[in-house]
Amino acid sequence: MTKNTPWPLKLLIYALLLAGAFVMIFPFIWMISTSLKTVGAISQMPPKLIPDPIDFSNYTTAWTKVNFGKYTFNSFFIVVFDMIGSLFSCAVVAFGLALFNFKGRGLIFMVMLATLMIPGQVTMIPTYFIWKQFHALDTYYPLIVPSFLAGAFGIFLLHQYMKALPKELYESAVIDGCSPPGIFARIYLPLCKPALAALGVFTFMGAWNNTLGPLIYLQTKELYTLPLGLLYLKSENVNQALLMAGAVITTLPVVIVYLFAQKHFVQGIASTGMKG
Amino acid sequence: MRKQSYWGYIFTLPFIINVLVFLLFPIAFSAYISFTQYDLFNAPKWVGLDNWINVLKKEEFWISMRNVFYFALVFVPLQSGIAFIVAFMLNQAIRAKAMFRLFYFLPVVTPWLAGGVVWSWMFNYQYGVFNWFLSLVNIDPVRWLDSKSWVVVITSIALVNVWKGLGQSMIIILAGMQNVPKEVLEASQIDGASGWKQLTRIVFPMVTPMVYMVMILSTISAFHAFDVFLGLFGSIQTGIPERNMIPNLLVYRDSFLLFKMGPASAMAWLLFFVILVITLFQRYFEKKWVHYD
Amino acid sequence: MKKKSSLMLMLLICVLVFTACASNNNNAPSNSPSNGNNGQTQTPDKQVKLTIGLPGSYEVTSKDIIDRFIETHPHIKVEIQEAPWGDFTSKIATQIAGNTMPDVWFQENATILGYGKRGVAEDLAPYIEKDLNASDYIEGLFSAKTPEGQVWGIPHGINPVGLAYNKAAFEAANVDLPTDDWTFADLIEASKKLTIKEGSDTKQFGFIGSYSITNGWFPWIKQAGGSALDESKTKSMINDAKSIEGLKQLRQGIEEGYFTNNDYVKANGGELEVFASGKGAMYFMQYSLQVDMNANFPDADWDTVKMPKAVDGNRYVPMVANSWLVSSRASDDAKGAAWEFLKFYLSDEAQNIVAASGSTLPVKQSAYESIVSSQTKPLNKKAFTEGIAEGGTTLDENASWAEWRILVQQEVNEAIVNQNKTVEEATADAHKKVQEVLDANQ
Repeated sequence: MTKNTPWPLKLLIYALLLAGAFVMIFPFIWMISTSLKTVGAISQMPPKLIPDPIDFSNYTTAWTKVNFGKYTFNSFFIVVFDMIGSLFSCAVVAFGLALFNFKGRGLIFMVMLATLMIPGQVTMIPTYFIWKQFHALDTYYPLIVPSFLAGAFGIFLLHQYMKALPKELYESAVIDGCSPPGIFARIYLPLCKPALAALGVFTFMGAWNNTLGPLIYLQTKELYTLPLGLLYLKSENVNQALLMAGAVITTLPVVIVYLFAQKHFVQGIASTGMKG
Repeated sequence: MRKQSYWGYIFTLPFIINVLVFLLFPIAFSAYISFTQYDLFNAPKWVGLDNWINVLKKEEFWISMRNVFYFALVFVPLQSGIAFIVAFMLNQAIRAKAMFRLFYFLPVVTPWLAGGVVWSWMFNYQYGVFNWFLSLVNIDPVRWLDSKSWVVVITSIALVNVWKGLGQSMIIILAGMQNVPKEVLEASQIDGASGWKQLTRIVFPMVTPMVYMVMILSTISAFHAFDVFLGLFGSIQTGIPERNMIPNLLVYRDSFLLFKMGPASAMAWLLFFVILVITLFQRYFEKKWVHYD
Repeated sequence: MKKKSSLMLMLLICVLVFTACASNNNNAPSNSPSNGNNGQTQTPDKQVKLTIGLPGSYEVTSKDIIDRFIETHPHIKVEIQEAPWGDFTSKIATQIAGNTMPDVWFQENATILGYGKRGVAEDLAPYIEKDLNASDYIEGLFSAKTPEGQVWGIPHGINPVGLAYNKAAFEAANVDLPTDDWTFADLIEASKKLTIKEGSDTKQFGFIGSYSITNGWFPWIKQAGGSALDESKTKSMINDAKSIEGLKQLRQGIEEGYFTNNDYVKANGGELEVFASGKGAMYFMQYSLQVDMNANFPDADWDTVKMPKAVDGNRYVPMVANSWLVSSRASDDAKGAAWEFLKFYLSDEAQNIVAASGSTLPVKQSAYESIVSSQTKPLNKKAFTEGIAEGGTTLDENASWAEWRILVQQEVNEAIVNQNKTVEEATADAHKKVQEVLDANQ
């Protein structure tokens, strides 16, 4: 859309985007709204979007019932390692697959895709056996180490991105006397910022929201992550407002990370090093 | 690319280790279990092909396959298409695009705890907002999630899944759009190319690698559908009708509720092979429409 | 070709390694309570370690009980393993597979029966016979008893159903309050009088038409003289004429609008919300929900009576139990310690704490005094305590319960919630499927 786009079309586009946006955010808004309601107000018909009175007590309940500070720290600890591990290892592997032609490359790529198709439910238990053999139960190793070993999603994302970059980039760097690791670190990695930013958001999201991993591997309560801790709010007798408060708390960090990473998705490409 | 081969091996080493240490055994184990009767406690008892035959004999398996195929058929093109269009729009000179990009991403992070409740309520036969819209234009209300017809039910769920995943696909495509140089777009404008032509002739070809990824990923995730169904139906114990079941729900039921790991593994691997074949299919067509530079 | 064969070799090795590991794990579970009697005479110096698994942690099992046990048993070192209530199943399943499960934990009674059949649970019948006096307890103590005489668990608590009613609604409609003499016919009559319609909208429903197993189809089937399974729990009776009759009554109530329908309940926040906010005048309420009512709806004016009587004059009070089980793979010392814990749990002290929580009924008779004299709502707690004494019944639980109850629920949904099938069609289909499952699990 430019200055030349006729205004009726512009209006239509805005209208569509807005309508779509409304559908997108409605459940999220409802979640926040419910978390601020007193219990009696939850089932009021028709539902009020802005609660009256606005009740923050569910958040304080969540805070006190759950060892907030420690769990948040634990979550961040795991997530930071996950992100570093993921971004780095996936970029390395993607680089190898995208820029090199070697025997077995096709097979490795197919295996990589195949790992995305593997049914998670039935591999959960044998994976548990593996970690038991390593005596790593009730530690963070099962939650952190795999991300340093390049997961398929990240490999796929960065591979697609790197392969779309001009071939001449690599050639000219070789002529300039760069070794492959140097080319990787100094040329490709910086160019992949948009894809890395996207992968960062997804890794954060996956690691932060992961409750199954911490659930089956962690025993000591001090090691718990925040989302796992918040699951304890769901006892037999359910207070929906409290649950929603827990859900909002779990969701907010991801939203914040997204807001920070956003600008990297849409930095206009200044140059691809082509000119001159 | 005639590069020194050994560098290729070195760079892909992390993934190779991953496969050898963490994937080989679980794959072998769950494949082995599919030929046994295993209740998670007593030692697995070899039963050969019995599990595979029994799974294939049961109608519920074929129904679940039918459902998941249809689900993918509705979900994948819709999500990929809409994600591409929205990504394009939000890459333009639009006001408040950062805000829009956030809004379109929110469903991805909205937990099913909230999303499921809201969507079930919107689909409610008597009190839901969709039937209310229909009543405004004099159309009979529809039983979206409890229809006699599986087509209606699966379509509704597919639409909810589009809502959920759109933001993620949009981001991937947006990232890919960063490779489209501004100068090329501007040049084409001067040449009189309209927005539509820009979209189809210039932008689309350059982001095909990302669109391809989105298609493959959404196909896989469609066949693995699980959370969206539980989010809308509640638990399996609420009595989800057989005509609405999907493979992963059956796998979950058999492995964790009924402790029948054998058939569950067989089913899971059957699902894997189906997805594998479809992905190979998609790979075959890759050369025809995906442009790498 | 080379790559393929080396891959096959690796697979083969993995498989062989695993079967070797699996056979090591297959210890024959010991059935003799070798440490049961030692518990009394054992030298208190011997330190024993005991892991206790708590789903829902101290929300559901009072910290007071655990703390008191630790205090009074210094030779037992207790380690608590917690997991959130809803996700406990995944966790315990993984632990069972990996042989890292706790020595004692609790789950739904039906699950425990399944565990018993597979050998996961220790048979507690000999322990009970040796150390407990059955007459001190209600019959519910033996909720996890099989027809063959094994007892796979000890109830963590019993959660029965009673008829809850909105006093204000009855007074406003000038209808006599429910009594313990009511039959289901009385219930239906009253619900018609208590339904208030305003044009095409219903402002108040007479009764909440629940359709799940515990407060829905099971009690309706039983009261008409039918049953889900027969006495031996091996034959389905779903398509018995009386079972059909009971289900038809439930369906009729929903169809004719004096019982709530599913759309309404879902749109108004769930069954408890509908009852608490006065939109439904009567409700088959589980005992544990009183905690929720008192916490969130303290001003609601309600009370309870026993479940109405069946056509044969008997009373059928569905009860759901969560039961403790002892791992059959625990060491003999740990089993002894686990039994010490269960004995403590069944002691007057602990059972009184259970009673005070209000979230479940204890199994020891002496603890009932405090319940009956409690001043919190519902005032008439005898509806539950005497109800289970009179007619407490499990939901026809057996080892394959988890499987067949889903099959029945699917058909009930079709016939009663969505009305896609007639009750006869649905029960015929359910009967066939349930019998298949029962036969396969003989």
